[in-house]
Amino acid sequence: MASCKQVESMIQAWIDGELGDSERVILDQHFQECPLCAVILRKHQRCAALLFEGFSEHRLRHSIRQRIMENLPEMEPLRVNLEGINWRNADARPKRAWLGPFMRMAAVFILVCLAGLLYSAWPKGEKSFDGAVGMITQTEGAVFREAGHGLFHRSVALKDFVKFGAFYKTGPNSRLMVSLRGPTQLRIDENTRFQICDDRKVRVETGRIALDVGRDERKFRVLTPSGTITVYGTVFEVSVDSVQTLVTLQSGALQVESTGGQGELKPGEQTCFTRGQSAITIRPVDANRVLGWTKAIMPDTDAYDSFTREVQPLKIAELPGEQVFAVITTKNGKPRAVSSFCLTWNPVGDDADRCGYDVHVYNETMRELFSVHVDGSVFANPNRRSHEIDVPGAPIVNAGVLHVKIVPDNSGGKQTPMKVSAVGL
Amino acid sequence: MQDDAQLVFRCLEGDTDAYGELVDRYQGAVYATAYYYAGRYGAAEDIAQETFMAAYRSLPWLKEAAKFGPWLKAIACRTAANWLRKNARRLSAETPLPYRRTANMADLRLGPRGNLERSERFDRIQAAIDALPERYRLPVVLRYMQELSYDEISVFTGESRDEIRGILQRAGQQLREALANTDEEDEGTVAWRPANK
Repeated sequence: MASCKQVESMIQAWIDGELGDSERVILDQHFQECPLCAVILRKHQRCAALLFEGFSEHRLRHSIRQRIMENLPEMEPLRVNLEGINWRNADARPKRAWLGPFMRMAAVFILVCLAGLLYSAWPKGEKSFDGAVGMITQTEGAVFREAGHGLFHRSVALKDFVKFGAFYKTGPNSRLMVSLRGPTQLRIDENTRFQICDDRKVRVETGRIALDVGRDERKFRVLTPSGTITVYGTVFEVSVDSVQTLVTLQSGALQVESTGGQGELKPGEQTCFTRGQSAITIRPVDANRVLGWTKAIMPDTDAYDSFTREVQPLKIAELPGEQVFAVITTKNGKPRAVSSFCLTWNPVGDDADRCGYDVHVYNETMRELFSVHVDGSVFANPNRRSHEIDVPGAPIVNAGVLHVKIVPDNSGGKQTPMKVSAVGL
Repeated sequence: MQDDAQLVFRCLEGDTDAYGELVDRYQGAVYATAYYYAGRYGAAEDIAQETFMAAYRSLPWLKEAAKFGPWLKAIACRTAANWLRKNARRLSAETPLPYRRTANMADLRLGPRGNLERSERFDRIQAAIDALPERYRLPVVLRYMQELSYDEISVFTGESRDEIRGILQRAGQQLREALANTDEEDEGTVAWRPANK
């Protein structure tokens, strides 16, 4: 005796006439005895009838054999014996025949592209003159120049030109000497990594460098992770490790600037500063002994000749003709009225003619407030180092940031590097 | 009666009558498959014909002669899909035909009103079938449209007879629930007619 559940699972097959004889007999008997299943059966029958009825008018009523046999196409001939061929590979038409030329062209194209990339990234020796600010005048041991992204290293040779932004690294037991326009001599000890930013700026990341800075009207700066050293012309040593920067001055004067503040060094003094230090301490030291190691590095005569002949006479880049300064007129968050502007410069004791300047003052939205002309004779006077320009009329109040543009006039003469500050009431 | 594999081998030897027999055997299933995919656009017959042509052309590529049915089904599906893609632009602008090819005697007897009811009823059936799980739909259409036996369906779809039986049992259950209202309305008007196969 079948259960109602078993019967229900067989109802569809019963209706479709797909049950075996024995199952059919069992179900026939069950439907007579069980009124519930009989009701379910009737519902199933009605549903099936509905479906048959619904589809009946869409049924294919005539054979399409005739139509097909009349238009039977040719069979595609087999080019290979299918036996033994994987079903996935059954389409055994030779693909290479048409892929070949295309693939060859693509391969050549890719190779050309890769060769171009490799060529452009290949480190090149600094034998070209463009943008040279100095020259390698002595090298000993493992010294490398790094390409900008730090991927390629190339050993350095005598008389290589030194360009803006070049990174150098000295290995153990090596020495390097770089002569920069100025002239400034850099003697680099072993295990040092540094960058020549330009002919008046050097960044030392780690290691020890001695500098003999040629006097120039421009500052020379040495940047280290823990502070900046500013000089005009002097002989000193900078030693940088992961914690601190040690600066020893042999002759001249220099200014040290770090988070701890500023300090000035006199010959025979040493200072040590670290990042985050509160104050700069200065102590006396035997500078000749400290800088003793530099005596071992002397420039190669031939290379230094080349340097003095090819690099040193290069014209120092002119100052940009037009300069714009942003002058902040608030102090400690409070706005201050501006009554005048002060131009300051470092006097240079030469007799050259100086050009005059037009000074334009703009407000925050770059609307011009006023402009004045300062004669070149003001800058030529060796006793002056500043010039004050009064604001015409009432002082400027609540200005926020003022923009001051200085434009050299066309009177000829040398330009003067200067700073602009606002003078408040 | 020869089985599919024997007929396929005879075809490959150049006996076109053998292919005629295969057409006889499978035309209902192929037609229903074409109808299932693109039927409402009145193209089922064309698709079926195209399917048999394509199958004959590539018969030499059939790997397992005994699996002619599932292979033919795959070709039918591909042909229908191609047809739909080719005609997609036209079809998107066209309203589907009512599910009726030609007026038959029953339509004439029922009149316009009857025709409308009939077409509405078929809409409901179609919606109920569309609500079924994907793999239930084709066996249902094959069963109710062409009244194919479980064996015929199984040979065509490649599923076993027991699987087909299970599918139709579960699909029948769901269809009965979905069509319950229609069922009641039509009580007494639809006469039970046993399967004649």
